[in-house]
Amino acid sequence: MSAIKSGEQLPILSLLEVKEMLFAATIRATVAHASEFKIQREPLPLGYRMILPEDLAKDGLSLEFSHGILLFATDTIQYRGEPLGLIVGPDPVLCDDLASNVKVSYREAEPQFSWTTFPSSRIAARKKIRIGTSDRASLLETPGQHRERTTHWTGSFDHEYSEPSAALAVWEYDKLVVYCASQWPSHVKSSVSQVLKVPQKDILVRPTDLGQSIEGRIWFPSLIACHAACAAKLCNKPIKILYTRAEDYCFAPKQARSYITIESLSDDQGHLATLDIQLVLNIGAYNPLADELLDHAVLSLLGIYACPVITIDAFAVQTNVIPLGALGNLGSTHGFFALDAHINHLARKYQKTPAEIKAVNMIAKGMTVHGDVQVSSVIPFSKIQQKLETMADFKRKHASYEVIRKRDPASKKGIIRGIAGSFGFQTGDAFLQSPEKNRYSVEVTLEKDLSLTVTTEAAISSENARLMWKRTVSEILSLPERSIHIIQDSVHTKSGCGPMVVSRGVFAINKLVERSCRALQKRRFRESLPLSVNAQMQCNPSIQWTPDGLSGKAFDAASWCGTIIELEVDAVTGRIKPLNIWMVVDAGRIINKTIAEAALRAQAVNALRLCVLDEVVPESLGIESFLAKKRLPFSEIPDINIEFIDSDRTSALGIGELPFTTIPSAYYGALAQALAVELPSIPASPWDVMQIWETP
Amino acid sequence: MIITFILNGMPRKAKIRSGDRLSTILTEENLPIKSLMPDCLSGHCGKCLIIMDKRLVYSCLVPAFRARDAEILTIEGLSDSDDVRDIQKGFHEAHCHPCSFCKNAKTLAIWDLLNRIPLPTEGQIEETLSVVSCACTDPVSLKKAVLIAAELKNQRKYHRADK
Repeated sequence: MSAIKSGEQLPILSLLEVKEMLFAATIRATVAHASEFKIQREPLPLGYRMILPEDLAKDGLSLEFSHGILLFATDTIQYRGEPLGLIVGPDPVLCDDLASNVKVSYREAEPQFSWTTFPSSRIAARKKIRIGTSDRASLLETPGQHRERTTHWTGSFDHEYSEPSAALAVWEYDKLVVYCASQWPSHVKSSVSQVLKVPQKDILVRPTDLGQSIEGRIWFPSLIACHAACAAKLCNKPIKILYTRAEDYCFAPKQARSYITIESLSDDQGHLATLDIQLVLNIGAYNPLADELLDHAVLSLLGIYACPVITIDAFAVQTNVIPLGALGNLGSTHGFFALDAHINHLARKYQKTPAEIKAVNMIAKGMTVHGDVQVSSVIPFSKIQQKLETMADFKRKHASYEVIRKRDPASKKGIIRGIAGSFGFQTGDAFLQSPEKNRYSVEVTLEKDLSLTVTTEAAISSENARLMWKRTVSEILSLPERSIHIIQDSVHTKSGCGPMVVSRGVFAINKLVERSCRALQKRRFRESLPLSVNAQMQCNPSIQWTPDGLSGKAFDAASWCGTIIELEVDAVTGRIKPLNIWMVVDAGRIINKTIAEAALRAQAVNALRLCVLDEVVPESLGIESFLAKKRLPFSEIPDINIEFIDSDRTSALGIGELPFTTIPSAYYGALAQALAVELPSIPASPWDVMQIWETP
Repeated sequence: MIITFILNGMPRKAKIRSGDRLSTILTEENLPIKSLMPDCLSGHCGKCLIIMDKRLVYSCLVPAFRARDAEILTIEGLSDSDDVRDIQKGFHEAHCHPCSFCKNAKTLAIWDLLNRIPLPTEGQIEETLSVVSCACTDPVSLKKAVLIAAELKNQRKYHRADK
C-alpha cells in the first residue's frame, strides 16, 4: 500500500476543531409561507449572539447569495426551515436550543404545495421544444395509427450523505479560510467573496472529505459556508456550523419531483409518429441549477428513439418546500423512466416485447434526429441487448413469468416474479449552458525521487477516481502506483474548476492527467527533475439547444448501458424484493475493470434505493419522518452482475450515471410484469401494490 | 455522577449527566477517541459502533450510565492488531475502499464478526455489514474483503502458509 502524502487524505469536517472556535446554529422559519415576519431579540446568555439580516447589512455584507437567493429570509418566507438568522456561541447544543426557541411572529400566507397545476408566477425555468411538424388530426385518421397517453411521477429522495452539512470559517492573518465539503469548491470561494464583498484572493477554500454526495452537494455547501463566513466576520472568531443529522435530513436539498405526461401516435408495429410530452419539475422554494435540471430532463425525454415529431413543454416550478434538485444525475432519471414506461405501455398494447418496440424506433448511425443531431457512431443496442439477454436468461424467464401470470391472472397468492430490461445512455456533457461549470485544471509534478503528484482544485469525490487517475499515470509514465499521489488542493486560482458531478468531471480530469503525463514523458529525460506540467480544459458541450430542438453530436461521446432486473412480489404483503440485476455497458476504453465494476455496483445500489425506499415528502419533513426513515439493508441488495462490451472507441467515458438512467425503468418494467398493472410512479411501496390490486 | 470504565484496556473516569448517551461521553470528554461519528443518534448510520462487554453496540443508543464498570473497545484499541491489519489487507486486495466516515465502523463490525465466526457465511456477512448504512462501497467487493480477511486470519491462527 502506498504511503499517504500530506494533503492526500482530506480531513473530516465534523471532527475539525480550532482554538477559540464558536458554533453557530440556524434560526429557522416554522411556517411554510409568510408574507411578513418579525424576529424578537431576547437577551441571550453571556457569550452568545444572535445574527440577523440587519446585522449583515450594518457591517456592509451582502445578503444575496446566488441567482437572487438570499442568505437569510428578509421579507417573505418561502419554506418551513428557511434560514432567518444564526445563534452563535461556545456550546453547540445550547446554540441549537436557543435557535429553536427564538420567537418569530408571522403573517402567514397560504403555502403553495401544488405543482402539477401552477400559475405562471411560479415558473422558475421553462423549455419548449418543437421538432418536426405534423397534422395530428389527419394522422389520427390514418388507419392503424393509435393514440396512447401515459402519466408518470417520480418522488423526492434523500441523498444519505456520509456527513451532515457543515462549514468552518477561520481567520488566518488577513485571509478567511473556509473548510467545506463541496462538489464545487470554486463556487464556495466565489459565493463567500461575493457575500463578504472582498476579493477572491482573500478567501481560501480548503476541501474536506466529501464522502457520498450523489450530486446533492453542488451549491448548498456554498450557502452554509457563507453563513459561517458572515458569522466569522461579525464575531471575529472561527465559526463552525454543523447540522445535526435530523436537521440535515429535514432542511438540506432533496431530489426534485417530476410529473410527466406522454402522448404518442404510433402504428401497429410500434413505430412512433409523434410524441407530445409535458414535464413539470418541482424544484421547491428555489434551485440555482433549475435550468440544468430541466436541460437534462428534456434531453433524456428526447431519448434514443427516432420520432419525426416531438413537442416538449417543460417547466421547473417553485413551491413552498425545501429546495429540491439533483440526485444521481442532473434530472435524467425522470425522463428515462417516463419514456421507458411509455414504451412498455405500447409494447403491452401491441402484444410485443418492449425490446421489439425499442428496436423499431432506435436511432441508428447516419440518422439526423431531434432537430439537427447527427448520429455518427454505431448505437450498440442490439449488441448490448443480445449479451444481456444471454447473461440473464431473459427470454426463458420472461416467457415463464408471462405464462404463469396468464394462466391464473386472478391468483394473488404466494410469490409472483417479473423480469424486464431497459436501455439508456450518459452523455459526455454535464452543463450545457454555463462554460465556467465545464472548466477543469490539474498540475502534475514529477519529483527528483520519481514520485509524482497530481494536484487539482476539483473535488475528488471517490477513492475510485483517485485509483483511476493513478492507473492512467502509471500506464503512461511506467511509475508504480504507490509513488503516485493525488491531492485536492485548496482553491487559490481565479478560474477554479467546475463541479464534479457523478463521473463526468472524473473523466475530464482523467483526460487532463493523460495529457499532462504525455507532456511530461516528452521532457522527462531531457530536462532535470523536478518537472511540472499544468493543464487546463474547457469542455465545450457537444450539443446545443436550437429553436427546433438540438444540434451537434449528442451520442458520439455517450456511454451506453442495458440493464435487466428480476424481482419478486409477495402477493400477501405486497413486499417487493429485487433478486438480480444484470448490466452490460459500453463505455469506450475501460481503464481498470475492477474499479469500473465497483463504481457501477455502488451507484446501482443508490439507484435501486430510488425504487425500493419510501419517498421523502418535503411538505411534512420532521423528526418523526427522519426516525421512521427506511434504509436499504445490506442483506437486501441483490446480486449485481456487470459486463463490459468491447468498444472501438479509444477514450474512456463516464459510467457513474448509467445505473440511474436504466435501473428505475427496468425495475418498473419488471414490477409491471409481476403485477400485470403499470405503476405510474417511483417509488412503489407495498401499500401502493396492495392498493393497485384491490382497485377493481 | 462519575463513572469508571475500561476503554481500550485503560481505566477511565467520566462525569455524566442523566440523559447522556455513551457516544457523547466517548466523543466529548477528553478521551483519545476520534473514530466515532455519532450524528444520527438513532442507531441508523452505524458510525458510532463500539464493542461493549464483547458485544457490538451502537454507542448512541446506550445510556452513558450503562458503561459503568464496562469494558469498551473502539478501533483505536485495535489499530495495531494483526486482525485489523488483515481486514485492511482484505479491503485493499478486494479493491474495496470504504469512505473515511464508515471505514472504522465497518472495520470494527468485521473484526467482531471474525472473532465470533472464523468462517462466516455470505448471510452472516450481509447481516453484519447491515449495521453500517453507508453505501460508499459496492457490496460485492465488501463481501470479498471480509472473506479475504477471514482467510488471512485463519492462515495466521493455524500457521498455514499463503496459498
